[in-house]
Amino acid sequence: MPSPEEAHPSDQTLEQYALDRLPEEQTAELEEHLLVCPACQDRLAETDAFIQATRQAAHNFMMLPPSRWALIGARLARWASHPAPVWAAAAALLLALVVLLPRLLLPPLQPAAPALTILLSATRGAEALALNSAPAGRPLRVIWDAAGLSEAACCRIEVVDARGGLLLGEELRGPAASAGLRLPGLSRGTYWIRLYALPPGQGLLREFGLRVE
Amino acid sequence: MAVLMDETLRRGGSSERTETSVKPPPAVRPTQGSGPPAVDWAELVERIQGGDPRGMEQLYAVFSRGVRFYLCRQLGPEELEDRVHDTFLIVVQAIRRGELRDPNRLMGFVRTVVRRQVAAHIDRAVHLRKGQIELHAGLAISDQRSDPEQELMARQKVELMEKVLRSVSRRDREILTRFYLLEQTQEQICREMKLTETQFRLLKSRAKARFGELGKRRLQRRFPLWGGRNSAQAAH
Repeated sequence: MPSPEEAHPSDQTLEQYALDRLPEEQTAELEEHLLVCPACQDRLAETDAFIQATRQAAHNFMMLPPSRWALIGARLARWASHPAPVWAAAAALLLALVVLLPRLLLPPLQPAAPALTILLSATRGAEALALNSAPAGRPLRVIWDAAGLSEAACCRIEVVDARGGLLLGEELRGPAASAGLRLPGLSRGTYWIRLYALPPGQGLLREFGLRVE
Repeated sequence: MAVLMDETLRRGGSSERTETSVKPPPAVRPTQGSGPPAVDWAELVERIQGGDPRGMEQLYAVFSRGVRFYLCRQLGPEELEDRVHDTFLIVVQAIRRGELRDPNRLMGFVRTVVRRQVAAHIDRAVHLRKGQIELHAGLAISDQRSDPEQELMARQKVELMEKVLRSVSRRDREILTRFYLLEQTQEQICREMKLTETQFRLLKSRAKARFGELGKRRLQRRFPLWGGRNSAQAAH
């Protein structure tokens, strides 16, 4: 077993001594060793230098103003320190908002309804004006009275809104001209469905009014 | 203080080592490297008691660096040589008076004397300060500051450590700050930061190693031929 003057202290013991945290009985043993051991004197000097430099450097760091990211991080850390039930409640609330908010704000989704057939009627030829009504948002199948329309001349069909904007234009020939036309769900407003004679430039054959409500 | 001490020790210690290596006193057997010398304490004490001048020489060879180191570390370099001299005088006189009953306790005895020297100095300083306040007299006060070169070295060490602290994570920096600056205990830090003892020790040793490594690099930058010269000598 080495004598006290031969047994070199560990780095941890030297550090504790340098920090003045070594118990008295160990201090006595260490100081006796230090009196006769140049190697450990050098080690202690290095430890002292390290501690002194670390203290000063750490102090300098503490004196620096915190960066914006550090402040954000600190705030997040403060939030994160809330107990788990608070987080669970917040998460549940958020989930509820995500699920419920669209339902509250947006119109309810309709199941795909079958197309509603609307019979467009006109009684006075090209000048005839008849406002038919249809529900908004529902697909429509519009058919018209083809009596008096020549199959050869029939026909080009156009759907325009109240401001004259063309929504749909299609040529229907032969029997298809009397079979009608499928329209997607329309929003509220007044629309005009016009049948023109073919070839183009031959004039308006019919005009039907459609009020979507 | 540590920087200051390095230099002081170098000045005071080199001549002694040369002396002992030229003519080692019989009671002192030098060991390998810079470890403690193997000393026959009984023989050494007997020589001092018998008034043998070689006894004094041996005592000085064994303890002078350590006594100087302790006093310098505690009180600074001011009047260091006088204090070392006084310490040896007290130790020798006490041995001659037969106050040291067990020669194997010589190390402990020297330590006690050195500690008393430190305590007495602090006591004197406290009284002096009180007197200064009472008298309002302009008594001479020693300048405890290090010289510019030592201050520069200390500053460089702090810069190195700042570099080390910048290179570690914020969490590691906090651990080092808590331990070294805020003087929190290892147990407290481990408990509050959820660290194991091993993690804590590893972090400290890594920081020390990095500090040492950066110090060496800086030294090599300052003396680029140093390493080369050594290697050249080794090749010859």
